[in-house]
Amino acid sequence: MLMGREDRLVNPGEALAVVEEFIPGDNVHVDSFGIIRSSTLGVPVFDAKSKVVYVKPVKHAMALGVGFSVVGLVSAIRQDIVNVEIYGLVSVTPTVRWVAELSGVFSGVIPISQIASEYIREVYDYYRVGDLILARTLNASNPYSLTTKPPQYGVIYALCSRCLTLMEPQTPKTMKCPRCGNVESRKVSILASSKILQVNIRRLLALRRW
Amino acid sequence: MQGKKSMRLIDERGLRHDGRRPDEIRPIRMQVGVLANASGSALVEYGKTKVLAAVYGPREPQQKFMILPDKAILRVRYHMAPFSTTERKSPAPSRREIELSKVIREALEDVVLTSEYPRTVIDIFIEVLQADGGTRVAGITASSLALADAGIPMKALVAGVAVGKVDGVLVLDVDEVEDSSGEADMPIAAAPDLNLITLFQINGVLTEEEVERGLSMALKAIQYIVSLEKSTLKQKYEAIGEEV
Repeated sequence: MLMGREDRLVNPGEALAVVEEFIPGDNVHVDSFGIIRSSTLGVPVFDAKSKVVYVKPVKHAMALGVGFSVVGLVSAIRQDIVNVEIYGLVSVTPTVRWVAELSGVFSGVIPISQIASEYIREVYDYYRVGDLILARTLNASNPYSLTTKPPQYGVIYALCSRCLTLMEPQTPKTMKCPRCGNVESRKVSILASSKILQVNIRRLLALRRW
Repeated sequence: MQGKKSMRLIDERGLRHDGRRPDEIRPIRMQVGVLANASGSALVEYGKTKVLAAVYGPREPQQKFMILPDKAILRVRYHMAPFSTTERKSPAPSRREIELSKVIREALEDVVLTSEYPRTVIDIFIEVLQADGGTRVAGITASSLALADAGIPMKALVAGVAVGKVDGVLVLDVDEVEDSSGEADMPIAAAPDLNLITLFQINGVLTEEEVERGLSMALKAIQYIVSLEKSTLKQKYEAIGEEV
């Protein structure tokens, strides 16, 4: 229906094809007459090889899927679970990059088995309340299950429990306070020293989102 | 009040008090992405009626008991600013505003694909900045644009317009004078792409034939308003579309 049309951008509700021609892909829906319509503002793609029509949206409504890297705040720790408030979306490959701040706060949980690839006696040796962490989503619905097993994931921002100074990563398992010399154990992310993340975290803190 | 009643709203040439023909709508202006902090926003003007809509979300609701396991909740707050009317309006939500929030929510629920975001909430705030009749339908048009601007999946764009009856004549897109002095008011919202009416109300008395004629007048106008919505969105995102 729309193939070869010069006007590339489509609006929600615009007819793209019929079900006899194409298989509906992402960001399209089929109405009661079998017409495939765009469900978002974007550029339609007609894959003639796989016979799939989908729309590349120009603006995403922020929602998380499986395998997304997120920035979150540890809000509570229980015996075998860590509760996280998810604030932002980052990309860790090929280099670390801040993608977006989410449209709202989402809940995440890290079960004890997903904290690190080793036996964990005490969750407090890995995370403390108030730490900002990088984690990866394991499911696509709220509340999100998270993992921090790979080395990219873990604490990226933590304050000293004695003097509230921003601690620096010392080893993959410890962070040191540059002011009072206090050393605390954490599951530290190898990206903790990334300047790009620090800049965005300072912006989040400045906006007092929590 | 007496003066208003005796005022003739249709003159001998068949024109309305502001010079429009009975089937003519007011000049419509639309803008999207007017608020930086909202996920999506739109400012819509129907003549002197100015309505701002902001969409936030999908996000996790503060009250967890509200969560629906299979779809997002749509929350709509229609509100008239205290300075929107000639006499100051109390900023507290009135009975009318609560009811209109409900009918606008129901008009949008038919087209928003809420099943894409289970266990979340999508908030729509409609703020009437200047009221000159047709605020609920302008609110629906603004919300539809703001939802599309936020990137929330929808079956189609929706728009609304009100048909009224003044001096025994059916008129399109009634303003405040015609609304308060007229004999009937019939706000309608629809998604022309889907042939779907999402809001249909009547205040006053109309015959069956008048309802049919009014409906066809409204649907024709809605088709035009939706085409304006489409061109507004395309204009805003044309440059980004080329990069996608």
